[in-house]
Amino acid sequence: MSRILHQNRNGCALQGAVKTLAAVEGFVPVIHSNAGCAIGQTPDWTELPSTILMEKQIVFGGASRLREQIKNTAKILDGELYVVVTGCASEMVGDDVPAMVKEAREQQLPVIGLETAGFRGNVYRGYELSVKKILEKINNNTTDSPVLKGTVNLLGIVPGQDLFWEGSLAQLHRLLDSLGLEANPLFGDGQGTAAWQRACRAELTLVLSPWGLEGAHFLEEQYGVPYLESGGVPVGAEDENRLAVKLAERLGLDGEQTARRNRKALQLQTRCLGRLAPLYYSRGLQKEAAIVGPSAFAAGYAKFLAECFGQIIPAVIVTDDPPEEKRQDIIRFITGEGFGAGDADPGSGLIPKVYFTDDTLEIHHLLEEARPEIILGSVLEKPAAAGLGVPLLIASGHQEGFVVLNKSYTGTEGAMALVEDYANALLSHQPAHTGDKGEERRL
Amino acid sequence: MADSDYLTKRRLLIREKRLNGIAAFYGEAGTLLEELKQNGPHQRIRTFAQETRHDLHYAMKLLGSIPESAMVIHGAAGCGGAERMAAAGGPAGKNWVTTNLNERDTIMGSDFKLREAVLSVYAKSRPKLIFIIAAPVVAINNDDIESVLQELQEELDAALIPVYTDGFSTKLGESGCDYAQHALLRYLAVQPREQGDAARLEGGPLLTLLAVSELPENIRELAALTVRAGFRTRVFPRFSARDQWNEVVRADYSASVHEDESDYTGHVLEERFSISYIPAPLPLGGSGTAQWLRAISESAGLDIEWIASEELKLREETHPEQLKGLRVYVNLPPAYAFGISGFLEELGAETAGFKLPYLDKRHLAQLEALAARQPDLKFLVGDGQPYEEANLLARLRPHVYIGSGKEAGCALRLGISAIDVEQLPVLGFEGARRLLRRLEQLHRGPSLVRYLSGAAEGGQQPVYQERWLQRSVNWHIKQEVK
Repeated sequence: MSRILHQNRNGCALQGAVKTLAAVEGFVPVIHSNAGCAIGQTPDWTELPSTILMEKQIVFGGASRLREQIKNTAKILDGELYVVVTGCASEMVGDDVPAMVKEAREQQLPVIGLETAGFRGNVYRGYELSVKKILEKINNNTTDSPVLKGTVNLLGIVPGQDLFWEGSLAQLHRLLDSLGLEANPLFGDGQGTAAWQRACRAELTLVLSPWGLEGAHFLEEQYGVPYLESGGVPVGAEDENRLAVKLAERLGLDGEQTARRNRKALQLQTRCLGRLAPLYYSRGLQKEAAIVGPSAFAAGYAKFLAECFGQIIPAVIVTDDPPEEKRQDIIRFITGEGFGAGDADPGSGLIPKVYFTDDTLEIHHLLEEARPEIILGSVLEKPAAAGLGVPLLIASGHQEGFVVLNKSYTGTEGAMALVEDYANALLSHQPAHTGDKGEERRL
Repeated sequence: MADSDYLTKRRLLIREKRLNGIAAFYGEAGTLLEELKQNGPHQRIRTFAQETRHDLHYAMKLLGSIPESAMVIHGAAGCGGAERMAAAGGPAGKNWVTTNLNERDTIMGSDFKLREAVLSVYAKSRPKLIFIIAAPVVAINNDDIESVLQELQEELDAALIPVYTDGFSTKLGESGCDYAQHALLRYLAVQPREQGDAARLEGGPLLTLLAVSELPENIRELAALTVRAGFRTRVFPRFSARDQWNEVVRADYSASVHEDESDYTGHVLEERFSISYIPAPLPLGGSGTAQWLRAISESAGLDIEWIASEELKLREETHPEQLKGLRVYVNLPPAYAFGISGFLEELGAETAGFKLPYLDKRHLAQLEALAARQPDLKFLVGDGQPYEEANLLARLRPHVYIGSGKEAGCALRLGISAIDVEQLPVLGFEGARRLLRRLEQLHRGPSLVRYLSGAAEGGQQPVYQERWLQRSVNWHIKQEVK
């Protein structure tokens, strides 16, 4: 049963579908619902086609309106795939969307339909539904089509919802490149229908969060594409290198090339962290940090900060409401590798307590209990940070009051950006060490 | 029917019926005027549409500004999502909860969730006001909100105020401002009145300044001008705390900043609370601001001499030809559009065309004056619909686009410099100065516009098919068949 939600950070299934589709070049979402469902969901949300159902269509049905909208969308917006996504209103009144889609396809229009009413779940569920359905419908390959050796699909980062999604996919692309592999991110720059058709011939799918599993299972069952769960997006050289080794083993890559790549990553990280060493204690950069974010990223942040940067992580709060059956895996990913899992008690400072909630009020209570000295979270954690008197580093959630273009905290370079922002958040939160007239204070 | 008669009803009549409002038209000023004069303009529909803001958005934007309040969004999870709240003015720091109705709730009913949500949001911060915003799911199911709230009102000392939005009964999303104010007025109408005329005896006349969506800087300046005129001023409802409402309903006068957004409230305050409502044009530009101030001050018998000197001061800082040759396109609500156009034309600019999110019978006089001067001026009416606007802008090729929000950003991608009035306070004398400064900045810093318009390498790909851009702008606007 769904609960009431304080300050819902995870939208609804329709919004997830819209974000997913808008991130693929050539995919055109066609919203079949009343006005307003997609406000704020993409940077260009005002350009999203929508049937804008009115009372007349709620009462008498909106199928003919949808027919008209599909036909005219194809005449105004270029697309390789038009995807009808249904909202609460159209599903409640029972519009026959499959019939309208079928009609359009008979006129040679590339149209599919998705049932994505808001009451079906959150944004992540919308991503999951969309990915699986598109993979089902878009492929004209068969199981006999040759495997594209070295091609690796990336599933589980939700475009438009995971704050650094575009930068993270780009960073993963570079990682795979460095291993001599071909990334197939499916979303973002240059990713269109061809990428989705390639997906079923890939050599492997890398699953970066539980939300990529449904799509990965489909590719495995239907096309024999195996998958590998990474336990989250790698943050820092150790995590990145662990993933590189797993990929190398799985795909039979050149061990020496992988080792060389890994050494370079470690050298970069060591050099950067070494430059920070003089400030580490003198400016108080070792803190207790609470992490608030979705499963794709929370694990990586926590592991890197604890494993490499000497931070103490009292709590990790996972906010994307993953399925119950995946939660133990997520806990294991956070605490298993790198924390030296053993007999340490959760909350001892060595291994964090891991919580699962998407309710902002619960998150704030958990933060108050954990009493961190810095929070990595979303804009919605601002009041909690202010109440605790600690800095907040925005590392998840939606963009409000700031801009993200291509940034990420993924991989080795991303982790160094994380260290910079983390340190600067602490430094700018510290009181000045000079008096009113600029004189230096001495004890 | 007097406006205050609507207070007996949960919902206010939609603007299409109450004001002959339209949200779809393309043509010339003269044609539009003729339609407006003869039984109101025809209702039209679009056979292709793009996403727009709905009544919930405008209601949330207004009610979210009221201090010591909380919101319950009664609907599916997405209706109360953080991005939606951010688009309506920002969720960080606000107390709001979504009832998060799932499929089962839509079938079995949602009373217990509504109750839980109200109690939860009350426990969190003990707000004085809790607004319950109805979302489409609840409207379609006709869920009973009133009974739940009546029961809860006996347990809580916060005012529980339902707002009956639904997302689909009106094409004019701005009606959400009306519904929010209607909800507040229904609440005020049943509150016990304080006795005595103390508020009216002390100091100058008390003015309720009606503000709904204005930026804080706009409200501050206009309130300060009314205080200078001799009023004691209280702002309502935007940013207005519950504690101030006792004075608001005991004022001597009320006046709108933007009549389209708050004349309903002004009329109800007059009919129900005997507060004289002063009609006044939008205070935009030097002469517009002066006219607004004069209208309000004269009605209250206050001195108006000082107003002319303020107007003169602004005029002396400008030159009648300083904007000569500048072609301006305006996409704003009618009063803003006509006001800005008039102000810039005083300085030599030329209006290339208008896009208005809506139009109704209240705009007849202004449209008449405009059509007399420029009967061929192009008018596009509709909220959003950037595909039509891209088509129109390709034909008009203005130098500057003055609009709001996302639409201003879309203009940038079309290679047109833009001003976003949602970010730039343009009302009052200072607002006029800001507008002119901003125009000058656009002229001095055009590089991003040139880059994105494709003049530089790597310009963006067009969004719309070329064959759409060749079609007439109103190709998808048809008369509604009843």
